[in-house]
Parts: sequence; C-alpha cells; structure tokens
Amino acid sequence: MLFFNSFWGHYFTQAVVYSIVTLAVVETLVAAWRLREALARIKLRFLALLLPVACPPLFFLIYPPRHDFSFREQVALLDINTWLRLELGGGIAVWHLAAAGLGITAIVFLARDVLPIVRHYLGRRHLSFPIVEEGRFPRLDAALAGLPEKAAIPRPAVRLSPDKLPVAYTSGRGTLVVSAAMIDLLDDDELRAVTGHEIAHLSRRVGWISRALLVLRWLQGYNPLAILVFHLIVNDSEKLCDDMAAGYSGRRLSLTSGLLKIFQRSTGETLPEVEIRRPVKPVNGLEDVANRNLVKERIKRIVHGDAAGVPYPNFRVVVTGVMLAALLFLIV
Amino acid sequence: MRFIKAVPQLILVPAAVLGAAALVLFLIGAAQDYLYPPEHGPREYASIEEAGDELGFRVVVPTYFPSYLAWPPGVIRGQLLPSSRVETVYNAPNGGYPVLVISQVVADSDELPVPLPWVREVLEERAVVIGENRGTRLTATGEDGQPLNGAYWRSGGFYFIVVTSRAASELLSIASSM
Repeated sequence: MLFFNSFWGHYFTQAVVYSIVTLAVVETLVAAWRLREALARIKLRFLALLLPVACPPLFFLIYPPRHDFSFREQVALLDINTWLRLELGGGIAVWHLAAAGLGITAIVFLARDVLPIVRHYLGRRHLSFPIVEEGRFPRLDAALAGLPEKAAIPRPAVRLSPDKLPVAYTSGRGTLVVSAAMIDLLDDDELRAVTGHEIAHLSRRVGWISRALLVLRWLQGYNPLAILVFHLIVNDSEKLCDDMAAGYSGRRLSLTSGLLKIFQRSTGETLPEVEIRRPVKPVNGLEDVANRNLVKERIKRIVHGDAAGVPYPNFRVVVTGVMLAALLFLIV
Repeated sequence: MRFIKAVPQLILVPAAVLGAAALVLFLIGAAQDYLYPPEHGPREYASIEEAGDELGFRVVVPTYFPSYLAWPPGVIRGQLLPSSRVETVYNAPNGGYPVLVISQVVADSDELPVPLPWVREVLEERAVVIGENRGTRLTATGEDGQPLNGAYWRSGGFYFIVVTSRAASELLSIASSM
C-alpha cells in the first residue's frame, strides 16, 4: 500500500481511473452525437488517452492543495485511496488486485508493444526488401500516379515484399511496401484505391495521429484502458485512411472489393455472417475476430457511405475536454 | 447564427453525460462510507505506516531527528471521526521519558483545533516562520510544572502542533524539518 500512497502510486491509479471515466463519457458522446466521421471520433477519443496523462500534473501545478486530506474528505467526489485500502477478506485488499492489474498490463505491454517495435527497429526487415524502380510494375506506377501530390507528400520509396500473400503497408518514413501477389491480385481500380489508402497513412495528418498515439500509448504502458482506447483510435485511423483514399481515387467500391480480395486471399476466409460464427481459436482467435470485424465494419462503412460529418466537431472536443477536466479534478 | 442555435445541443449533451458520470462517482464514493463506515474515536497504531494507511493521509515525521529521540515513536494515537488527527509521542532512548509530541490535525479554520498537548499554562506566544509557513511559537509550563517549548502552524490542510521539553532552538529545528 506504501506504493499507492507515493507520488507515482497516486499518479498511476489516478490515470487508470481517469481513463475509465473519460472512456465511458467519450463513448457515450460518440453514441449520443452519432459520430461517424473518423477524424471527429479520433479527436474525441484522444481525450481518453491525453487527459489521464496530462491532468494529474496539471492539477498539481494549478492547485497543489488538491492533494490535501481536507480536499479529499470534503470536496472530492471520489477518493481512490479509500477504495484501494478496502479489505476484501482473506488478507486481500483492493490494492493487491490493483497492483496485480498494473503489473500484468505492464508485462503485456512490454511483450506485445515494446519488444516487437524494438525487434522491428533492430531488424529493419523491410529495408532489406528491394526498391521497386519505376517501370518495373507499370500498373503500380499508374496506380500511384498523382496520389502523393493529393496527399501533399513526396513520392514514397516503394519496396517489394517477398511475401507470397497480397500485402500492402507503410513502414518507416515514406516507405510503401507491397508484394507482387497484391499487384497481381487486384485490378487497376482496386490497386489505385488500396495504394491510395496506404498513401493516406503517409500523409501529414495521419502521421501526426500515429505519432501522438504512439507517445500516449507508451506513456501508459501500465494502463489496461489505454490499450482499448489505442485500438479504437487505430481502427478509426484505418477508416480515416479509407475516406482519404476514396477521396484521392474517387473509387469507393474499388476500395471495398480490393480490401475483400486481400482479406480473402490472406486468410482463406469469406466474410458472410455464417463464417463469422465459427469457433474462436484459443491463440490468435480474438485478434482474428477483431481483424475480421474491422474489415467487415470498414467495408460496410465504405459501401453505405456512413461517414457523414457533424457540425462543429472541434468545438465538441473542446467543450467535452474542459468539462471532463473539471470532473476529473474532483477525483483524487 | 447557425452556431448559436447549435450551442445548446453542443453543451447540454456533454453536460448531461458528465452530470450522470458525476452522480455515479458520488454514489460510488458514498457507497463505501455506507458499506464500511469509518471507526469513531481514538485508537493506537503499531507503526507510522499503519496509521497512514488507516487514516488515509501521510503521517509527518521530522527529518531532523537528534540522538536524544528514540525511534519508533512511543505512542501513535489517532482517530478518523469526528475529526481526523494523529498524535505521535517520541521518548528518550532506552525506554526514557517522553521528549516530543507532534499533533497533526485535519483542519481548515485558523483556530487551534485541539488543546495544546502536555501544556498546562502558556507563558508567552510570538509569531514565527517555520519553513514556508507562518506560525506561533510558545513557551509554557507542563502538567508537572516543567518548562516546555512549542509551536503550531497550518500547512497543506493540516494543523501541526509540536511541543517538546527541549530548548527552543531544537524545537525550531524539528519543526522546520517537517
């Protein structure tokens, strides 16, 4: 319990509780405002990553007596430490569970987020892939033509993945990795739509989102709620790139069929409802289902054009952020 | 004009959602007091850590700790209700007599919230600066007629009262190190 009475103990527990409150409020507002536009959702959901990190030090700077006992007793809506001290019986208190939760999350974060990234940067596998010179794949050149200009970025370096499956992704600064299997699989329109999606990932706007997301995620390696918010925003980023790609190429349906073809070839699956109901494999099962559901959701969204914007999205984010900060101030 | 028309919806919806969240948080906070009401009246604790865990605040210990004081404190007594406070009594080493008492009381008002411990009669009071806080230093006589030095001041939502049978200079060194 000594740890939870320390500065860092206070900080970690406050950040987790702030995440719970912020995420609940933000998701309720996403539903209440019927926010479909990816960028508006991303901005609002960023509050659930930013406020838990920024509020504790900010509150300390603007009002140090907030940590006083009298504030906790007389003003605060919720004093987290009183719950942490609660005995559950058998010598186990809530703080034992909280410590275990933080520890397990930190280990999962190290194993799933930190190690793969370190390995990626140490290995830099994609850098060993050959550069695709212009003219080698004329269909790819045609698909890429004009897209970087539309995204306001220089033409990316294109590298050829030896993967036998159709893959397309961006890696590092301004690198687009594609496999020959993908170029063969897609028709011209699909190829342009899919490369447009990847070019959108390299755009300045999405680049900023990705960097901010990574920093906030890494700052909260101990926070289980941050993982959830992180994945929600990553999914929104994919949808944002879909919207941008549709805007670049003007071929919404080609993006849909391209996505479907890649998904089916990569997984050997189709997407009808009957297929989704198959039993989940214990190992990567949840991830597979999440991935399949994301592809389904994206396709549905592109087909139905379900991305109408709401008025004054930035004003909504600011108002929500200010109100949330005021509420979090009363949780110590 | 369009914006002004939209403002109520833009503000009322988050206000309603956050109001509901505040209510839930309040109920969660109140539920604990209801299910596990805090104990009334004073009790003694085995250690500073136990007192801190039970009372919910950090029990302040002086960092200036001369050799005429024994560790751990001889008595650690505190209570949550009706008013939260803790009193630590430090003895001379080897089972010696009490030398120093520190009272830490949760208080918002400027008035002294509890009687001065050990003090029978205050002889003199004067303003003093202790660390970054303004307080009062006093000389007094104890229950047994011995001379005492004391000080009290407010800081961080607490009233601190320190009384010792040692010299005034020692009192100020101890108080300043809290």
